[in-house]
Amino acid sequence: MAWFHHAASVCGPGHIQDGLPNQDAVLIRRWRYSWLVVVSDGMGSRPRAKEGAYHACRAAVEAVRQCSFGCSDKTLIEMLYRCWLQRLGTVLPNDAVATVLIAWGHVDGRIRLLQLGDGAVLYPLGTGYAELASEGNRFSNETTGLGISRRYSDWQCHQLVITEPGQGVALMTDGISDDLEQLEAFVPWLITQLHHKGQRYSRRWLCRALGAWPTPGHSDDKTLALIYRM
Amino acid sequence: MKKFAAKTARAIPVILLADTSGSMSVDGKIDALNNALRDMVKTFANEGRLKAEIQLAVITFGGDRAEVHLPLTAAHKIENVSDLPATGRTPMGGAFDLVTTLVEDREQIPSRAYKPVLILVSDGHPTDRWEEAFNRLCSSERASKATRMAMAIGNDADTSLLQDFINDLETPVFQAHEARDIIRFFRAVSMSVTARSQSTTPNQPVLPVYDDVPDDDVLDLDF
Repeated sequence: MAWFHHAASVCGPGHIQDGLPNQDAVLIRRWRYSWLVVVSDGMGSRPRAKEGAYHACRAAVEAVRQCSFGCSDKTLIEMLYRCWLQRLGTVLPNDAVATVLIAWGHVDGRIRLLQLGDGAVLYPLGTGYAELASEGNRFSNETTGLGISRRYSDWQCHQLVITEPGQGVALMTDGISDDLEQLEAFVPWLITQLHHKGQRYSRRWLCRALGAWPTPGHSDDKTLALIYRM
Repeated sequence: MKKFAAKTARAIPVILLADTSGSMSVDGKIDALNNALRDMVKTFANEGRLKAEIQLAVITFGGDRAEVHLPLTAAHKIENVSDLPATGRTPMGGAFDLVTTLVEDREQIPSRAYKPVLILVSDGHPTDRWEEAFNRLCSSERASKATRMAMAIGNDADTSLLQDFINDLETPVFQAHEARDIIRFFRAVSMSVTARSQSTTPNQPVLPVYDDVPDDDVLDLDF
């Protein structure tokens, strides 16, 4: 069995209208024995949000390179946070607040999931799919992230093993997850839609689908990454 | 992707807590409130739903208990709001409990909704054990995050309670001395909510601007 991945990110109509860039970031890295998928959403109200999200993705790469796959969640989180702060340099963390959603996998099927802030990480559970962080008590556009949170308890962490072909993990920013229905069926449907498409075509297909998001009034940037076994 | 995306815009829930005690029947206050409420419904209903859908609920407190006069409904679907009656005591605590229950209910107000707006309108002092209910509202996980605004009608209103109710220092308790002030308040709140619904950041409160009501719009009421 092999791992396949797809990802896309589009600027939201609200940001286009305000002349702002896409403040989401996505990164996928594949190595010989492991892989990493990171999605980050820069908090729109912060002046350096785009940089915050960009560096969150790169900091995750640096963190997993310095940690063993079996390290504790707290060790990984602290490493990621330190890498992010270091990458920011003179930029104030509070000016570059960003969520971070991570799936770190081993080729044998083990996966570690981490999430800080809003958005969604969907993973297989039983015969369906579950969301890593519940919606909790928040309202739309309320979130935390790197640069605000200083507590380990703000993070959602989970480990799982994917053994079956056709199972995967999807990470997405709140521009998608807040308007998403039928979570259980979404990932299997995505896998079916994307599996036979090449990287370039699948990105175009995803960009088109996200750009034509049908929910009235949607304004956020939208970023989606999918990795699955087949 | 279409079948997985929500078909309606995210909601901005607006919940009116209206004092309908007996004292509201004096000096045409309840009539002014009913007119202002009808205007507000009309304004919300005419608002486009491209960016956010304004929803309205009305909770009344008068007589023996508080009750839901209008369940949370998309404004464009509200065909008619029956007149609020004015009778009996002022069970404001009951209204606090009802609004807390409503905002905490994720079926009615899902997480994709923007922060609700709570508007408290009163001309008197509560007659029930309101303190515990108010504390529950202020300490609840979701209701505590709502934007809270208040209007004191006349000189007998418990302004210190209303002062405690509001949570936006830039929007102090509005003091209504006459019927036209009630209309001014509701117009300003309506404009503030509709401005939010058109904004790219609908969670950010928009300060209400209390414009004068044109003379030909003033109701002929003595208070």
